[in-house]
Order: sequence, then structure tokens, then C-alpha cells
Amino acid sequence: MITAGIDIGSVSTEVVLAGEENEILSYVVLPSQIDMEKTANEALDAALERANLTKENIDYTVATGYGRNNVPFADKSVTEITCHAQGAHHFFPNTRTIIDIGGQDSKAIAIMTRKNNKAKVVDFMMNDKCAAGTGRFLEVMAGVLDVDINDMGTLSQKSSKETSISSMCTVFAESEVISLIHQKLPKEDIISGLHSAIARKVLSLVQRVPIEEEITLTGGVMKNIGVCEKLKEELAPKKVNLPDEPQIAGALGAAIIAKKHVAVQTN
Amino acid sequence: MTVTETKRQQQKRYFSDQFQNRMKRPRFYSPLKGSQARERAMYKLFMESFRDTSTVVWKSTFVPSEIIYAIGGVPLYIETFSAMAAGVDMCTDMLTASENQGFSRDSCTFLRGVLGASRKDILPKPDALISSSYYCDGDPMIFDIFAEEYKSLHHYLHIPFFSEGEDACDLVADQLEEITLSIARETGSEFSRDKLSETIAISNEACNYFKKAMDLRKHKPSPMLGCEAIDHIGSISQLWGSKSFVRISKLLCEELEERIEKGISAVEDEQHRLLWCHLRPYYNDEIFQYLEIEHNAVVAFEMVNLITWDEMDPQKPFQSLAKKLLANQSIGPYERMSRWISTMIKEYSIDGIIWMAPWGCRHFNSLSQMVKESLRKEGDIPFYILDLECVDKRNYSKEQVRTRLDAFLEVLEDK
Repeated sequence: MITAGIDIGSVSTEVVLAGEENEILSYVVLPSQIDMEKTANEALDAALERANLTKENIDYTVATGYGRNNVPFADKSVTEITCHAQGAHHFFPNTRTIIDIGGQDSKAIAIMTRKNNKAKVVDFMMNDKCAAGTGRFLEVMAGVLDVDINDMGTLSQKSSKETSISSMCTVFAESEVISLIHQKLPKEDIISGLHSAIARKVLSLVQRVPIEEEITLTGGVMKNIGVCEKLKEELAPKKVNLPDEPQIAGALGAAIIAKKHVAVQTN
Repeated sequence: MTVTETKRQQQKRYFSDQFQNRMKRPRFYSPLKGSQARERAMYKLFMESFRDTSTVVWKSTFVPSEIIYAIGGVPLYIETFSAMAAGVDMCTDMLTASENQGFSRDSCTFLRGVLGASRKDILPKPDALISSSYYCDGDPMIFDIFAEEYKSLHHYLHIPFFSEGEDACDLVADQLEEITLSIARETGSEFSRDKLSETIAISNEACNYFKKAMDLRKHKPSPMLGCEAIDHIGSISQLWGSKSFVRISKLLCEELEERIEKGISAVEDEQHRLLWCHLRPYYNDEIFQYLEIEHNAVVAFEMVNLITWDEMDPQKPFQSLAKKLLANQSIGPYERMSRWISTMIKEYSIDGIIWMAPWGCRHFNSLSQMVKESLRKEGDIPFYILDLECVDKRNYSKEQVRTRLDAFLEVLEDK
């Protein structure tokens, strides 16, 4: 049995092809385009090519993420909350709390494990009112600082004195960062301050779930080692897991959910 | 014809048009006769407020309308105006008008809508105003502004936070009596204890029917949509003490009984039963349509229709009204609200709770996490705090709300 999970986010689109035991056969991460259907098809084709499979080999497809209802070939759509929970639980079966930071939203998800070892969402919180503290926020700041967003994590590790960023509104924070640049402060220190600000913002959300060990970090922003380190510091001494590929947790979760539907159809 | 009369007539026509537009709005359900009667009663009440001979009293949320009916006045729970304006896409202008005057977007949108409308001079002029310290704490300050603007007298009703003792009841009863007598004197209205006792008896009669109607909603499947029921807003209605509310509640009762007898349910194939806390978005019905019709998750009950007071004694009117007011679950420590919610969960066979959290509703939002935690200790009832505005559609994003509702429904399905 082969299932596909496709996570169409505001910034990136991920596809995971999973096998009988939920093992990952292939995965692809592509930037999201305005035409969601086109993005979905391109990502699926690329994943199929990597696994040397064809569309006919797929038994069931679940779409998730912001564009989940715009994937014509999907058999079902499921929210990113449920999918990230399943994906994180697959990576780390003892996970009880998931922190996901994506392109335009952040989430805290509390799960429990059923007797059959399946994960179940019991509570969740999502950011509201503004997208500060998400991937888009980092993108804007990378632009202002004239650095590649992919280098922000490693740059922040070189910081010797973190700068305090007081504002978490993206627009105000942007002007604050411009002011710090004018003060000739090192970019590394500013980036480190931005990562701390994100961590604090997300933790205020997570604490309402509330936080239980183990915690797993998912989403594209978790590819930034600086943000992960700040979160781990704030959450210490609790155990915090980081998957090798945190960005594909949602798509993997979707593929796992797809398998349950194949089982239902078969029965 | 004087200038004032012309203005009043213009205001009346304006209100009449807006109200009728609201009543004619496309709906995804056919309203019950009781609901239609409520809308007509509200329309009539607003139209009466434009009569030259009417004594119009603006009141805040929990001020009992019975004392105003007892002096022959027209009680206007003025926040209703913002809800109505939102329903006909006018509220944004009102809110902008208040913001242009410097009122913060972080404050109550209902009150800001009224502020904007008062600045545009489209509201019926109050002869007196009564605000209370509960709900909402912003009322007394804003009512003071209205009092100055309309050159009317502002009466303040202090409701103690710890409201379950005899002292609290005496304190509120004394204030209610003083306020009633003062307003009667100031406005030249007639007050008699007999008339107040009669009003209390009418309120009791309506309450018996209304309670019964709400009890009928415990039936599975539910005979009434939450989208429709929430507009009756039983706990704070401005119709208590009016004969129209007796007719409305009786009609509701009869229709719900008939529906249950005939096996008519509000939604086909009811899957989930929800408890809705706080009010609702008034600028559209699509959230309820999405939940109740598209996902068969009926809002089986809503906090605003919970009747917590016992039958009042018409011979002790002020004491009885004080007891009624203080019995409201929203007054006092959060444990009180949690207890009531626990009761509603059991009585209405609730599967999940949606706690609507409007931006500027500080009082209610400060309770949300505490109530959620307290219910978590009792069991695993899914509880979602949904950030959503009642009258300011500028803060509404359909897709964002749908994602959260979808996730909540997935939690319920996986329960």
C-alpha cells in the first residue's frame, strides 16, 4: 500500500509518499506558487519520480495545510493540526506536545496516545490577529538585514551579545531592526534577538495548551537552528525533539491518515 | 414642524429601513414564529423610542428592563444597535467614526459602534441612562460620555463581585429602588409599586415559558438551531417585563414541542452537540451555517440563554430583581461560571465547547483560560477558544476561522 500526503502551506509545499509501515518512500519540498493546483502536481510528480513510482501506485491521498481544499486529486482534506500531530507522533512516539511554526501561523498541539498507539489531538492553540513570530516574519527580517533566510540560524550562533527586540508586530519590528542596523550593531546579535522574540511569542501560545513532555518541534521555521535553540532554552529541562526534516511532519501525518482511510475502504 | 421633530422623524425612518433590511436578510434556515415575533417586538421597541411622548432609557447589559417598563418607559439595551448595524453592513462606518474620535480599537466594539452612531446623531435620544459595573466594566465610562452628549442623567448601578450573599442582594435592591424612583421623578413618569409588581408577574410568566422552551432543546436531536436561538439572548433580553416576551416565549415553547412530537430536528443527522459561549458574529451567519448545516454540529445550547434565577416575588419587586440580576452566571469568580458550564454540559449532552473570544471583550477574555483549565480538571470535554469578532467584520477572516473549526471538528470526530 502506498499513500500520499501533501501539505500546501503559504510558503512551501511538501509531499510525502509513505509505504505499508508508514516508512517514507520519498519526499519533496517546493516553494508554493500562486497556482496551488500546479504546485501540488509538480510536487507530487517530483516525489513520484524520486520513488520511481507513478500516480497509479497511490492508494489514497490526503491534503493538508492552507491550500488543502485546492488539491483536485486528493481523496480527503484534513487540517494541519491533526496532520502535524500524526507526523510528530510518528517521529517521536512519546511526544505529548507539538510546537509547529509555519509560514504564516504557529500552533501548539497537545496529544495523547491511545491504547492502540495511535495519536489523538486533545487540544490546540493557533496564533491569531497577526503573523508575527512565523516564517513570514523571518523572511521580512532577512530582507531588512540583507541575509539569506537559510543562513539566519548559523549566523545567530555567532552572536556574542543578544540584542533585545521589544516589538513583535512585524512592521514595527522591521523598523526596530532598521534602527539597530543604523546603530551599527552586529547582524548576528540582531538575528539572535529576533529568534528570542519568536521563541517568547510562541511559548506564550504553547503554555495555554499546556506543555507536557516530550515536546516535538515541527514546521519550516524549525530548520532554523537559532530558533530551535532558543525554544529549547526556554523549555528546559523538558525534553525537546527535533526531527531531521521538521518541515515534512504535516505531509507525513497526512500520508499516515491516508493509510487509515485505505484500511477503512478495504474493510 | 420643529427642527427636533424633523430630525427625529429622519432618525426613525433610517432605523426603520435598517431594521427591515435586517429582518429581510437571506438566511440559511426558516425562522420559527417565535423568532419572527421577537424581531417584530424589537422593531416595535425601537420605533417606540422615537415617539415624542416616550421616556427612553438606555441601559447596559444586566440592568433589569422591568424597572423601566414599570415607569412606562422604553428600555434600550443600546448595544443591540451595533449588532443590528453589523447585520446590514453599517457597523464599520460607526466603528471608524469612533476611532476617528480617538477611541481605542482595543475596547468593546459594541460600545464603540454606539459611540460612532451617537457622533453621527442617528440614535434615539435617551431621557435617562443606567449603566452597571457588570457586564461590562467599560459601560459606566462610556455612558458618562453619552450622558454629557445628550444632556441626560446617568445612573450607575454597582454590582458587587461577590454576589451570592444577602448583603449583595440588599445593596443592589436599594440601588434599583433609588434609580427607579429617581428616573420616574426626573422624567415626570408615574411609578407605583403595583405597576412594578404587575411587571414582575409578566416577567415571571415569560420566564416560565422561556425556561421550558430552553429545556426542550435538551432533546436529542435538537429541535432548534443555535444560530437562531442565540438571538433570543434570554439572560439579558430587554424584553423582560413586556407582554410581547410572554407571547414570544409561549410561541417558541409550542413550536419546539410540536417539532419534537413530529420528529423534526434542527439539522439532519446530528453528529455533535456544541455549547457556544459569548454572543455571535452579527455580520454574517456563515460560521453557524458551516457548523450546523454543513458539518451537522448543532449548537445545542448557548450561554446567553441560560436562565439562572428563580421565580420572582411580585410583592418584593426590588429584592426579587436584585436576586435575578445577581444570579447571572457571569457575575463573580470564574468558578461560578465553570459550575454552570458543567451543568449545561450534562443537561444538554454537550460534546464540545466553543468559547468565542472577541478582541475587545476584556472581561470575558480574562475568564477564558481559567474556565478552560477548570473544566479540563473535570473531564476531557474539548474546549476551543475561538478569536472572533461580534460586530467588527474587519477582523474576520473566513478561511482562518474555518481552519480552526475544522480542526476542532476533527478533535470531536476522533473523541
